[in-house]
Amino acid sequence: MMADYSLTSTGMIVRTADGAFIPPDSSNADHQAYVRWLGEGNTADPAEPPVPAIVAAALALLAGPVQVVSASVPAIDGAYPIDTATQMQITGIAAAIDAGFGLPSQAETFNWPDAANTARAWPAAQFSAFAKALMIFLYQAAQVAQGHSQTLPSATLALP
Amino acid sequence: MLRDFVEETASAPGTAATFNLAGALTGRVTFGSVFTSGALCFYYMDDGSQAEWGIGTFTSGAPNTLTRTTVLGNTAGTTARLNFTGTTRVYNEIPSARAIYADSNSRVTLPGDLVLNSVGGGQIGGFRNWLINGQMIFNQRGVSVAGGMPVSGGYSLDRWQVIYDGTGATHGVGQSTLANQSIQDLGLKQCASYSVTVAGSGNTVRQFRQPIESVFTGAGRTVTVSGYLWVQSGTQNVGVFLSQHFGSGGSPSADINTAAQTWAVTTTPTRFSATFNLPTVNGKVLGTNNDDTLIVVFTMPTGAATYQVNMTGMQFEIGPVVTPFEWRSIGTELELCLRFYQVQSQLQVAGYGNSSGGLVNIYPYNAMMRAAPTIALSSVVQTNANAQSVAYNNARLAAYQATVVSGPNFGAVSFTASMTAEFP
Repeated sequence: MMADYSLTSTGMIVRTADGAFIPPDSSNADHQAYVRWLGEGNTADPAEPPVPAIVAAALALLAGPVQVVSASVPAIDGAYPIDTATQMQITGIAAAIDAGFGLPSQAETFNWPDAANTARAWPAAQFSAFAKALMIFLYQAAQVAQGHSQTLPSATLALP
Repeated sequence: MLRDFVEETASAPGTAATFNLAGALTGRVTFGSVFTSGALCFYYMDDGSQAEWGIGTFTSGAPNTLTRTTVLGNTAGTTARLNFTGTTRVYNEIPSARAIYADSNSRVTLPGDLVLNSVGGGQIGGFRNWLINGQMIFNQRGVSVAGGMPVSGGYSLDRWQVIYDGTGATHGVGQSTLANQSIQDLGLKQCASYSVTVAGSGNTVRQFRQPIESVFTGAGRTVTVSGYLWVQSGTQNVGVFLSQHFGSGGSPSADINTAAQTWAVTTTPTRFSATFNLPTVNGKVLGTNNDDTLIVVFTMPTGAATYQVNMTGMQFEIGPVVTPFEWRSIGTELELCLRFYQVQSQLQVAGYGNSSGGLVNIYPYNAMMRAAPTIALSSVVQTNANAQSVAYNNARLAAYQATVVSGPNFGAVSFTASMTAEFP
């Protein structure tokens, strides 16, 4: 349960009820209320420790987008979003390909939008490789974000 | 310059600049009994056939003398000293050239500079009304009767604080625009409406009040509180008293409250006033938090009463005389409000940075505030940046910070900041 107030690394005090920032100024009425609250034996929540840089970097990687570079189909090179909903779609299409259902277009390629929402023509082999590379990327970034690894994945996914 | 019943004789003063005074007429007093030596005084010299008037200088001695310092006029139509060869009456009266009177248009024109000790017992110039937003034109917090009452101790219209207790009430304070009210002709446009539609339970106090910065305000003086009040129906008693609050921190003196006075408020907008003798603060101890105040308190009906009291043109002035409501320019009035509460919209913390890189922007307030304010952020829009917060502030400015989400790239957070530095 959160306390009525929490501290910050800069000395400001955050009032839980409305998120207002209270300065450490004895003339400020809200700071006076905070001091009275402390005097009643209460304790403010501590300041959240700063996020380690490598963890912050991993979180930023997980926020996407990722860069794709293909050795044989340069038309699909570019930045692609990897938000949660998109990840589910990628996984679903890759599973369909592996199951022999073919591409969603039932043709040699299908349109998959990049981060700028430009349709790119993806062949099945490259999309399956994309799904696999993305799975590995997400796992490695999550390992760092969770503190289990110190090795960040590359934000560029190399595909055949 | 002027005393009562001063009249003496002089024996053949001639045209001499200085002549001897020969003593008072029966039933009159001498110049020497009411003027100190060297004092300037109006004089008239009259021998029954001619007269001279002006400003003289009285000098005590044996005998006392009067010097005709400035001749303002005479019956010859000049400003020369006339030749008085016989017994001459010399008296202290104001010449018409120096008299102040209301003319046929009831206007008073002064022949020279106006030197005043006070106006109505109060200050001569500057702001007579120590209340801010007395005409209820600023409502930066946007409170309304329908929106409910701010928390007890909170503020409603700019500078107006509410104090109450009890539970279960349906009540609120809002800003109303006057319609079909005679006081509109006085220039009053809006009012504060204090409404109780469901009394709830356990209510013993209801205050609508304004803390004036510094408990020294009016200390040891006679002061006057006034305002236009009316109710929606019936009659309600509204009380008014003053509270000298010596602040907090350290060991300040205890609050001193004057006795309350009561106004019987009806449906007709009426200007009420109350005069108080404020105790001196000499010998009192102020708190260390620099938050001492003189609080002008209006007490609303409590308990089971339901009503709506409307108020505007509220004034607190030093002196025993209620003077017309003081108009200040809208801009000036707003500046006074901003010292205690203000809102800045469309602020932005933006920049180019690496992932998780910090961004900081510093914004001065619209006006310097009473103290470093509490700041609440709202209407936040994040663009590749988050974790917006107030890193630092003082009474003049605030530094806001945010974090770039994914970089190197641009990130920005825009928001509205509400600052309050009101009194507790």
